[in-house]
Amino acid sequence: MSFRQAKTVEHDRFPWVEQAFILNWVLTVQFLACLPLMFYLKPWIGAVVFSAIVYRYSMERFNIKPVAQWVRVAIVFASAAVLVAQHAGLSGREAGVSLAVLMYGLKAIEVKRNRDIIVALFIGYFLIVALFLYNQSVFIALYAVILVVIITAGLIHCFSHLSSPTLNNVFGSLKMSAKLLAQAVPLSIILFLFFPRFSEPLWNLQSKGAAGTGVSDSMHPGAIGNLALDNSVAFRIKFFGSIPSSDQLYWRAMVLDQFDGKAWTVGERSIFNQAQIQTNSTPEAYEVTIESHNNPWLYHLEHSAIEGIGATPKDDLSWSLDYKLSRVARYRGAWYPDTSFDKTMNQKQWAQNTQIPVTGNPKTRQWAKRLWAQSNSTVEFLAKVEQFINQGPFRYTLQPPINRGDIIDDFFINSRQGFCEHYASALVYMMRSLGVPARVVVGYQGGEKNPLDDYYIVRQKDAHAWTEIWLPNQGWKRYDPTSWIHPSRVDLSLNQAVNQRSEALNLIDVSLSQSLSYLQQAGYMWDSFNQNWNDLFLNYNADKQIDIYQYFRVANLDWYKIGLLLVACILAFICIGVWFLVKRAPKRDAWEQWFHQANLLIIKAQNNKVSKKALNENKHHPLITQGPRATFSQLAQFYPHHKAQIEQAEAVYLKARYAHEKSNSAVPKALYQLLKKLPAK
Amino acid sequence: MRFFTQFKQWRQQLFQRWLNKRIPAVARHVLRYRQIFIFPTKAGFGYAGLVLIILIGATNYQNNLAFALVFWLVSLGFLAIAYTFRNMLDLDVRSTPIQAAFAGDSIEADFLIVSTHQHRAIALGLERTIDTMIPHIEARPTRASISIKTPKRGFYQLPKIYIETQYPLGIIHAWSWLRFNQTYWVYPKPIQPPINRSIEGNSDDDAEAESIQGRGDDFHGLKQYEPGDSPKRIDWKAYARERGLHTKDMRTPQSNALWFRWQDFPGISPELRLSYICFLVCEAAKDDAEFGVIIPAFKSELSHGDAHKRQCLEALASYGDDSPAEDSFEKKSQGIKR
Repeated sequence: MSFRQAKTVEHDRFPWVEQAFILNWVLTVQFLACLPLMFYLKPWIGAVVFSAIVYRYSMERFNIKPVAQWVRVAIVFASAAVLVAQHAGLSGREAGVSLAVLMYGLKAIEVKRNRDIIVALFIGYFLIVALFLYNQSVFIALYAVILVVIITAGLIHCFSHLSSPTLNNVFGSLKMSAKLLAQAVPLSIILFLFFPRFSEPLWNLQSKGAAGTGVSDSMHPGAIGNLALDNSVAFRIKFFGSIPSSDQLYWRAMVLDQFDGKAWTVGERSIFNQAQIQTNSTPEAYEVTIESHNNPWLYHLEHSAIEGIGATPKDDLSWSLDYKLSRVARYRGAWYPDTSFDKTMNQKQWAQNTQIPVTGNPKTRQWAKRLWAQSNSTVEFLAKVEQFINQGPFRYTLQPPINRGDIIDDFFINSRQGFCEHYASALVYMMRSLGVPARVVVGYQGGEKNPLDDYYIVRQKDAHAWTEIWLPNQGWKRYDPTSWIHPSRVDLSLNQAVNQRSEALNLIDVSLSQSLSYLQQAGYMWDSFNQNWNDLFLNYNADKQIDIYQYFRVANLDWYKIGLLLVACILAFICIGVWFLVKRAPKRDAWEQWFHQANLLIIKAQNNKVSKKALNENKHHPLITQGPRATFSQLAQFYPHHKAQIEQAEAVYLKARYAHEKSNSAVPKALYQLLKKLPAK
Repeated sequence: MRFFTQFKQWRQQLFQRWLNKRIPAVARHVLRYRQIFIFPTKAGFGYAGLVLIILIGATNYQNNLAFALVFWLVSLGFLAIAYTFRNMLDLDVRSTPIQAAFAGDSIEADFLIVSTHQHRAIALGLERTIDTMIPHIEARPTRASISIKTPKRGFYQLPKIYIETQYPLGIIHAWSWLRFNQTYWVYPKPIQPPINRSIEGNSDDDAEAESIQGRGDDFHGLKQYEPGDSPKRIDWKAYARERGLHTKDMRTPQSNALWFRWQDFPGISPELRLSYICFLVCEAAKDDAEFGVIIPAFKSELSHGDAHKRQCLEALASYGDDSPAEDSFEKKSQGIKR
């Protein structure tokens, strides 16, 4: 198993003896750093990266010849080309991370010299950050800590310049790494708390919408044949005022008011003027902790104002950021129950909200037209539609048939099977065909209380779509056509009923047993733990930093002073480090110390210029300028009265230090006494 | 441009003077705060760059875990300063006498290193290069040696020793230059003379040759002139009589004592003569024969033994204080010539 120094032009100053061994370490780091990212990236990237690592490992292990330079270059370029083709110009989080992972994985083949090894270890640190962009859970944090220890141990191992790779050495490096990193914690806490933060990102990260579960920025009713239930948490809410009733728990994310016959999308928007809000009701406060979803929109109750994150409201009363949120974040909402913000509509908005393709879905249009003729008002018409859906053969299912052609007709007239998207889309289409402004709203519905804590959890499976219909003199009013389905026609297995979508849960009214099973209890405890993790760690931001500054009475400090303070902290840290390390340096053993004392006596006795200088230089150091015999004979020479005792001491000393079996015995008291007895001259 | 190089030289000189004052040439160095230099390595700047990139990323994504990682790495970097410094601190290095070598070979400079605490991965070398890596240093003395190339004969002071460590992370390196008052001899490179002419012996009529005339050298005869023969020994009287160019052939009667003389190798460059004599001295010492060396400004006893051999070789090594300019330049760059 030899390290291949394949035609390197430049040679290392001092190549590591253990390179073959260190290479395995690097490959391990590469594997561990890429592994969790594979859950978020395209599978082929994982395939390329892991085959590169395995190939390099077997190359060393079984002495396989390395592939030609041009093949390696070709692989790199081919992978990059595929990536560019898939991500249209390499912008966005996934493209960037994919590129980093690919290049890092392929680096495995190219590791040749000391420098490559260091670079490979350093990039390991970098990939941990890439991982944090996708997942910030406690598990990932722990995984990252272990990885940092392993990478740092790799560096320590490299720069220890050991000549033989034993298991002991590996443990030694790991131990040293853990020790160093543990000692680095105090300063990192100070930096974490006090290092100036910005509340806004440095630049906007524009990227094409990534496919995520839950809510997406467009809706294709009838295009999904099987909806998978995703039990992961979308966001958590803490209510400070009154808790909304279950029919108020509609979490709006986005309004879809543009229909092209196939999909509902977000139309043109203008900024909503908050001065328009006129209400007599008092706001109820709540706080949302949102998981990283890599989208700009925020979840909120109807008629809410959001603050604490820099979001702007749009004229459809949805709130969004100027950037994609790829971290766990927290914001406050003020919710105005029983009120309406927008009771007027301008020409443009009216046109937008009644827009549908001129032709298509003739059966639905005709059906609606007939019913409209029989109704006196919009409300009455809607009541009739509700009755029709409730009484008719409409089914709720998560495995609907795929709708083709005129998708609304295919659903509403033919199949009559679907979930929220189908029903919301059909109702809005119907209303628009009659010239009544209507729009699809997507978001989440419901929220379960964590019985072990006082917050609510909304999961991805609670994603929902409903409608808002414009009523004369009343403005926008929420209608949820999915809730009109008769409970007997909800197609759900028992298994699905337990992990239920809220929208369907409301329909069949399954009352879960009041006592929680152990498994459920453990689940809630874990969620509670996660929420605390968010509270403590992930939600620390610029605002809280200012709170802490204020707590320490440094509120009016400018950045310059804070910088100065941090530099002082760092310098103090280094000084304490050096002092501590030197102070804790192991003491010389007692025999050596005794011998040192004896030598000092001689130097003092000599009392000349040279000896004084030597004394000055050697305050902290053992004087091994001569052998023990010379020292003892000099002692005897200076102190002839104690010659017998000195000779005795010599015998004891030589036996203790140089006997075949080295004794670890303590220095006899007699020897110390002898030194005291000898008068200083 | 020229001004710039001059400035650089001037700066270098100033630094050397400062350094020499700070780290005097002594028999033993104990590395304390004054003697240790510390700075980030190339990898250290890479590490700083990496940390900066992560910091920008963390700020941009407002990602607190990334912030935590970056501050952890920053603290680790600062801690590395303390550790690397400590790894150099209290090292006690002394140099041991150096065996002489012949030009073209290399000498082995031995050092004894001891400390009050543990050290890892200490590198020794010359002028920012690393020749030896000592993985471990403890209370017991550790021996380390570096080999120094010896291209030119002479008497040298041990050049500055570069002692360095990058342990534990390789992002910071601490180093020092150790000047020892240790000297060593480099003898001329021994080269076998084409014919062992010293046995036959011959004499010269220049100043030194005069002084050894009494040893029984006498005129042996005339031989045809060959290019390279000393003009002093050309029989000019014969030339004036138009008998052609002839050289006086002077010989010494054979004896048991071996004399290796400068004038044994006429018409040959001084360095080569020294090399020939060096070879002959070594051969003679091997046979434990009695020998003597006569070169300009030095004449040895007729004797034998190691001490005698050393004396002769040292004389050969230090021949000609006014050696050619390029030689002295070489020597200065390596050490100080006595």
